[in-house]
Amino acid sequence: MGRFAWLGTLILLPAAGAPLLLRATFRRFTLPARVVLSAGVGAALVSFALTLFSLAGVAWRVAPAFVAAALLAACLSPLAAGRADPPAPERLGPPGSFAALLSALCVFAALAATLGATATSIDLFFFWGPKAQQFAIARGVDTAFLADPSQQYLHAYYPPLVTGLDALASMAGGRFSWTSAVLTFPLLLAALAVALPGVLRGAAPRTAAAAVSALAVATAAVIGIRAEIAGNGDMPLFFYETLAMGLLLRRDAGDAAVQLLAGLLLAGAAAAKVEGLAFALAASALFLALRGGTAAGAARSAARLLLPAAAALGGWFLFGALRHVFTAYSEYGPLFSLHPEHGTSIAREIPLVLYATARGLPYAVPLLCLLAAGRVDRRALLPLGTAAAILGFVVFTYLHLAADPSQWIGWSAARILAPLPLLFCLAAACASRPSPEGA
Amino acid sequence: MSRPTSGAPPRRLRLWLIGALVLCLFPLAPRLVRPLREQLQLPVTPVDRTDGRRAREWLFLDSCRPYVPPGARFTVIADEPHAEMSLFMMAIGLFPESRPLPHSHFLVPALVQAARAKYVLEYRRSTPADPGARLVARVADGAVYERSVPP
Repeated sequence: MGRFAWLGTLILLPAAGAPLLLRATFRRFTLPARVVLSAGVGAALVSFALTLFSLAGVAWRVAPAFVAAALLAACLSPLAAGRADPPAPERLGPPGSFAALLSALCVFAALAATLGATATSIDLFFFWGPKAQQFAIARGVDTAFLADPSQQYLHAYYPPLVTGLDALASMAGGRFSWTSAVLTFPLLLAALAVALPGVLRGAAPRTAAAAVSALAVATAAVIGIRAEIAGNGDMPLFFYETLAMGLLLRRDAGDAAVQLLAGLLLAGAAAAKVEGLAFALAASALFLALRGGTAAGAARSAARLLLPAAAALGGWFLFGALRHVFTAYSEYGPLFSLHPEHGTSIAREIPLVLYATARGLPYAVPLLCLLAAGRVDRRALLPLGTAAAILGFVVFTYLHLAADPSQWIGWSAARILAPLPLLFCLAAACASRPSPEGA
Repeated sequence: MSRPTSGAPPRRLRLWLIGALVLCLFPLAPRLVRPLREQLQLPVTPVDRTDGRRAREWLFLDSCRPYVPPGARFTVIADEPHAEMSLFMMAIGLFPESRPLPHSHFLVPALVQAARAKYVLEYRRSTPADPGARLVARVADGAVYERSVPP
């Protein structure tokens, strides 16, 4: 029963985001995409509400956290004013149906791997799970626990979304459920498979959107299984990053409502894992640079895209500073204290690790699909530029370790470089031929 | 941003779908070479098939759980330093109502902290670390000891 309540808490997340996604302007998305986007926004806002509770010294409880998130969503909804029509009926056709079938098979493969314990992340047992469990017991961020020197490897500063939501689910379920925590991998993959075609319909024709989505879902599934991410923060990160980028590639990405939605998803990414912040900054900066327009318009767009992430992380670091637990992302020394002597070893190890993950196929296939797709339009610079920025960020991070980072790369590179092939898939969606009649 | 686009040529669509199919089939490949009986067996621990060493450590900690009362302080000792560290880390999650104390931390001895532990979980050791400790139970791959410590 506890496991059902645990997962049920996460399945209720669309309710938290509903006051925003119920706005008429979001009729531009298909209903399944709207429900999943509502869950993504709901999760980001519930996490933010938990941070506010922690700042105010209020104990975490499930219902108030959901209510607070729904109120935040309602407060944001006037910023998403306007109407939009539902997507025009468009025949999916056999290729699109086949793409949907492939996505379903990938979700099933991820579910089977998770239940068979072949995709379990050991980090769930070392970091994510113990923290979430302790937060659930303490009904809040247990600062005494995090400040204990013997718990320093728990990365006290790490962004709060995954541990907060897992803690809330544990409070609903009565205890932390390791099984339910690993099941978040196939659950979020399924959510991505459901939402991405609907989101990409604004960027490509329906069949193309379905095919690119299948490719992205298959990529996330194989990397997730082979790099063993079930239960850690990687799948939530892939979920947020992929959907946010999908939104920014849409032809209506200039609309305030779409930008606000993308900003909330980028906030989810930034609050899910450290590298989510790098993604949010790179994607937003590139989007603004590619769009052009007036300075005032760019400032408004920047606010919609980045203020949610700034609020989520600002609140988290304010809490850490007030409780004297953490003030910034840390652990690997000062920001520009680098060890360039490890450059060769990093350049050697990363390809080896990627090859060791399903023989490199989940990285190579999306890249080959992109290259073989022919000419891409200008929008593709957004995912490709973000991919380059993420690669740079990852190398920059590895250069911080004083010791040889080979072992660290072996543990992490397959997972933290996974956004690259996902971004290649999205760039492929921009490879369609311009046509006078539109999508 | 550029104008809307449409009409993905069939070649591209086929390419994307073939790519997805290749990736979709890849997780099945290892299943075809593994015996069916093995695949149908339910895992005993969540890490059985991803990390056999950790699975064994998990089973050890799990079998110690009935012998460590809620609220009690305990430490885990193993001869192999990396095993000792991972046992301590997993113990935090597996014993939420008790208080694990490290015997070593990142391979650095933490004996002062460990000395406060009333219970000692010894993993794959032939002799007890504290000869004066009382044997509470022998479990898979080890034993649980109780010792007197200042409150």
